[in-house]
Amino acid sequence: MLSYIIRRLLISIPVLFAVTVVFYLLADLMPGDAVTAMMTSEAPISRAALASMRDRMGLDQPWPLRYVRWLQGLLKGNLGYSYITFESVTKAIRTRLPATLELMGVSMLISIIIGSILGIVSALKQYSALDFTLTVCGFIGLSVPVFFLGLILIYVFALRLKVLPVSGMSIPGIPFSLADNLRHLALPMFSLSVLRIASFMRYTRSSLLDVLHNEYLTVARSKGLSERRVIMKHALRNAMIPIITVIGLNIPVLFAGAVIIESVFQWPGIGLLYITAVNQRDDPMIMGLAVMSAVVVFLSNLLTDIMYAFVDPRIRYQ
Amino acid sequence: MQIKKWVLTLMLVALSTVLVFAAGDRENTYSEGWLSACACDSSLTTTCTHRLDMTVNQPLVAITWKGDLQPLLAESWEMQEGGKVWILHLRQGVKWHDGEPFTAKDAVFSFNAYANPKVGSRWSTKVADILGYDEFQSGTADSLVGVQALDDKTVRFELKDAIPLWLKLKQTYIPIFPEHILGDVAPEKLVSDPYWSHRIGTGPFKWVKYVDGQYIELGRNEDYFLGAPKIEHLIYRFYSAGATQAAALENGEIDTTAYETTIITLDDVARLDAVPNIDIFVMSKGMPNFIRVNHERPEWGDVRVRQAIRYAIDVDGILESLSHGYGQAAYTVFPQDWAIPDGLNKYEYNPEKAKQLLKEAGWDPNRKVDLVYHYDDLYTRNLLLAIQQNLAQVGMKVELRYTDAATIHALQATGEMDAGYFGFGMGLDPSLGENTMGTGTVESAGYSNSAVDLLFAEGFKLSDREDRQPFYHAIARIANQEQPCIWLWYVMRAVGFNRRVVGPYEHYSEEKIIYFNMPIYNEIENWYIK
Repeated sequence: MLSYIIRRLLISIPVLFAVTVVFYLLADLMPGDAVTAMMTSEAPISRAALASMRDRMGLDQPWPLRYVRWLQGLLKGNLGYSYITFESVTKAIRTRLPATLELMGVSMLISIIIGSILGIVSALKQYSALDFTLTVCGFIGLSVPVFFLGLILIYVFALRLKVLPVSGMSIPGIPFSLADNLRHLALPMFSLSVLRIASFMRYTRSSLLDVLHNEYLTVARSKGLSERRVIMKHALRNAMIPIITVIGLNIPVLFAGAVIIESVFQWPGIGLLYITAVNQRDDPMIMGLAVMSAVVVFLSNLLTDIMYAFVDPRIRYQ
Repeated sequence: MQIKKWVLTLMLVALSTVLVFAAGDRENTYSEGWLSACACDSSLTTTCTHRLDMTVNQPLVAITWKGDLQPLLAESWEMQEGGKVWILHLRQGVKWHDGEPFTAKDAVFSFNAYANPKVGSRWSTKVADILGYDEFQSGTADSLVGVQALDDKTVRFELKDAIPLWLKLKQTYIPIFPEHILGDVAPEKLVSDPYWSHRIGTGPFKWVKYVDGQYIELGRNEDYFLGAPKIEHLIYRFYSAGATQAAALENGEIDTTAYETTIITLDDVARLDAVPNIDIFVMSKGMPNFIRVNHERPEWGDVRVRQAIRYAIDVDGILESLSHGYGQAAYTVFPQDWAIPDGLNKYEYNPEKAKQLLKEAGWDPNRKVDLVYHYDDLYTRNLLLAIQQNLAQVGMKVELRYTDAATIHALQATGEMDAGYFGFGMGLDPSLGENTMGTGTVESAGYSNSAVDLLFAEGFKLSDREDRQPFYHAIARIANQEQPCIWLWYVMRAVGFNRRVVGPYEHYSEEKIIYFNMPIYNEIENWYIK
C-alpha cells in the first residue's frame, strides 16, 4: 500500500508540471492582459505608455520565458504577487479558503446525507409513487441553472419573506456570531445543495438497485437475516463503491469554490477570487489557483483509490 | 422513539428561530455598495477607491456639484502669474487619525508620490502639469521641483504653463497621504504597502477594518476639522453582481448603490422606486454613449459612412421604447449645456438619407461590421439589437459580439477593433472631452484632428466660462459634423437610495451630469439617519 502511494505521488510530479504548462499557455491565449484589463476611459493612454507598463511588469516577454520565471518562484515555494492588488497569492488563497470550505463543506455534507437517504428510499420503493416523485424532483434539481435558483431564493427568502439576508458572510461591523453566519450561509448553501442532493440521490438509487438484484442478498435473506441487516450490511456496503467515486470526484470542488454562487451571494471564497483574477488577467493569481486545484484533484483521486481498499476488501494495491 | 422525534422537532424549531431572528443591525450605521473588483487598492494605482480618498484621506481642496472650490486641508489659496504659481495655505490644527499633526510635508510627499517613476503610479499624469514632472519621470531629477513647502502650513506649486483652472480641474484629484507613515517606505513598495488596507487620514471617518471580499468599516472622526460627522459607522460593502447589490438595497442591507457602474438597470427603476422608503435617482447626463469606429481602417475614414450610421439609428424611438423615456439624444461630445452651441445637426431619423450616403461613399453591403461591447446587462443587449436592426434596414450588416473589458481594451490597443459600443461618465468640465477625441491615445482609435487638439489646448488655458465657450462650441460643431464617434444618447445611471438616511439622495439628486472619480465635496459629515 505504502509503495503504491509513493509511486502515485511520484507520477504526479510530471503531471502537475504538464498541468501548469497548459494553464500558463491558456492564460496567455486569453485576449488582452493585465495591462489592458487596467485600462480605463477616464485616463486615455498611448500605445507607448501601454508598452512601458508591459515592460515594467515583464509582460513584454514571450510566455515560455515568463513561465520559467514563474516556475522558478514556485520551486522556491513562492506563488508570486497579484498584478493588480500586489497581494501575495499564497496569502490571498489562505484568506479566501476558509469561506469556500465552509460553504462547500456544509453543502456537500448535507447533500451526501440527504441525497443518499433519498436515494436509498427511492431504490427500496422502486416504481412507487414516492420513487417517481423523487425522480421528477431530482431531474428538476439537476436541470435548474444554479444562478437562477440563487436569484429565486433571494427573491423569496430575502425580498418577499424578509427572513434571510441577500449577501455576504455576516452583518458588517458586528462581532462574529455563529447564528448570523449561518443565516448568511443558508441561501448560497441551499442553492448549491439542490443540484448535489439530486445527483447523489440518483447515484445512490441506481447503484443500490444494481446490488439489490444480486444473488448474495437472497442468500443473506435465506440465512434468516432481518431485512434491515440485509440492506445495511450487505447491499449498502457494496453499493457504496460507485458513490465513493462520486464523493471523491467532488472533493476538489470543496476547494475550488463555486464561481457563480459565490458571485451571486458575494460569498468571499475561492470562486470569487478566481473569476476576479480571470477578468483582470491577473496571471500569478490564476496560476496560483490552478496549482492549488491541480494538487487537490490529484490528492483526492488518490484518497478515493485508497478508500476503495477500505470499503471493498477485494481491492488490493501493490 | 416518540421522545426522539420530539427532541428533533424542538431542535429544528430552535435552529430556524435562531436563523430567522438572530442578528440585528447596529444603530447609526450607513452602508454604501462598493464594486468587488475595487478591493482596497492604493490611490496611486486606481481611482475606484476614491471614496476613501474623500472620507478617510481628503485632498487639499475639493469641488462641489456647482463647480465651486471647497476648502478642505487647504483653507485658502492665491493664484499668481495668471495661474502658473499657486500658494496654498493649509488649515491650522488638523491632526492625522493617529494624532500626528498634518503639515506641508504631507502635501509635498503626496504630490511627489504620484510623480515618482519608481512608485510607478498609473495616475502620474494627474500631476503632469507641475514644473519638473518630466525631469522627475525621466530620472534627471529626484523630486518634483514645482512643489515646495514654504513653511509648515504653506505649499507653493509652480506649473509648466499658466493654467487658471488648475486648482479646480487637476489639484482636486490628489488625496493627501501621511508622510510620517509612508515617507520611509521604499518608493517601489509604496503601492503594495499595507497602509492601503488600513489608511490613516485626516478625513471625517477613521479606518476600523477591512474584511477581504466583504466590506470596509469606518468610524466617525470626532476631531474632523469641519465638525464630527453625525453618522457613527460607515460601511462600504462589496458586491460583484449588480443584481445582488440591487437586492441588498431592497432588503435594507445597504443604503446607497454604487454609482461607478450599472447596478440598477433602467428596466428595474420603476419597480424599485415603488418599494417603500427606496428612491431611485436617474443621473441622465453622462458622456454620450457612442459607437467608436476604427479610423485606421479606410472604410471608416469616410465621414459619410459615419453620418449615415447616425441617420440610420432611430435614437428617439429606442430611448422611448427601451429606456422607458429616460435619456436624451446626443449629437456631439459634450454633456454640458454651456459647451453645446445652437444649430447643431440633430440627425433626425432618416433611413433614406442613410442609404444614399452609404451609396455615395461606396459602402460594400457585404462587409460585416464586427461590433463589440462589454456591458453584460440585458438592457444594453436590447439597445444593440435595435441598432443592429436599424443598420440592417439601410444595408449595413452588423454582428454583435460581447467581450469582457480586458478583451475590448486589447482589441483597441492592437488596432484590431472594427467598431465598439462605449460610454462613460463625464467629468465636471468639457476639457475632459479630449479623452475621446484627442490624437494619439488608444481610446481615440486612430482619429486625429489637429484643429480639435488645438482647441482643447487653448480652451484649457482660460479661466472664464465666457472666454472658453467659443473653443468648446467649435469642438462641439466638429464633433457633430464629423461624428468621430457616432454619438447616440447620454449615459444614464440609476442610483438607488434608502431614504432613512438624509443626505445621499439630496446630494446626488442635485446634479444630473455623472461625475465619477473626482472628489466631489458631498458634506458627508452632515448626513444623518432619521
